[in-house]
Amino acid sequence: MRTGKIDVDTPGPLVTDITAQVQGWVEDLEGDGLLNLFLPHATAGLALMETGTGSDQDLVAAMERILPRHDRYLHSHGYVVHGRDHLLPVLVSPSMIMPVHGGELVIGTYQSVVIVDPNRDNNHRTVILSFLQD
Amino acid sequence: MRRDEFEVDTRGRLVTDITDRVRAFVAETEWDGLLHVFVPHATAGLALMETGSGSEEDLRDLLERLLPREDRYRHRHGSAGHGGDHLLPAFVSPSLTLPVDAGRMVLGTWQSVVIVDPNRENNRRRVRLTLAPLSS
Repeated sequence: MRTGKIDVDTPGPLVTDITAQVQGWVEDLEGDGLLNLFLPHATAGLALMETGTGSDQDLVAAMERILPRHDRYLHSHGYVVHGRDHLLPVLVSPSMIMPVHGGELVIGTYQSVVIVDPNRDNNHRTVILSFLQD
Repeated sequence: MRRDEFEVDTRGRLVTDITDRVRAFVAETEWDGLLHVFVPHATAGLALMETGSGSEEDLRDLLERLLPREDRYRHRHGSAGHGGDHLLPAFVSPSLTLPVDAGRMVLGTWQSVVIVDPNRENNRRRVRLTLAPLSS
């Protein structure tokens, strides 16, 4: 098993596309197998979604409905609506596996690997990569 | 590792049960290991849920509340509300991993492997399976 990590800036508002960084890491492996991506963070998740065609902003609006920005949360560290950030990983998991074939990430035409990160108190995220080689 | 890929027709269904097809692939060996299920699509996800007892319709109602099929999205391709389909994979991941014990999926009695696909503009979905054996 090969392991590594990628450091990512997530300036916001919510979605940061990390497809190129993940593909870059995978290209050096030249193998087949399964890649686990993991975020060791309590206020961010990983997803596969289309980017660059409005869905990034649509996800911001959807999160406002599902996890509204107000002061109802009991978690009271950080800025006033930070409690909602701590609920995000329950809905958008920080753990995800993707297939790798011939040294390339297996990914659909309209899929991008993204970090979903609503927390503006922490814009520096680490992705832990573990490659289980065939 | 062993791999397989197949196509599923999701026409007219939000939830399509693929448990039997996945189980058949896993049963081709007697391995212990991990099974990875993946759909390379931007408007569908994979889930484990009970089927055949009304939860499919309940899920439709839930998604209508969370991601209403209305003209509110910035994503402008397709019909009104299609932008919501593009948000589904953020909540229902297209990547799922299951334990396998001696060629059998370790699933709960009431669990089925399903594709959740709200997008009626693409009814042909590909599923990619990877079975990774655990070294003894």
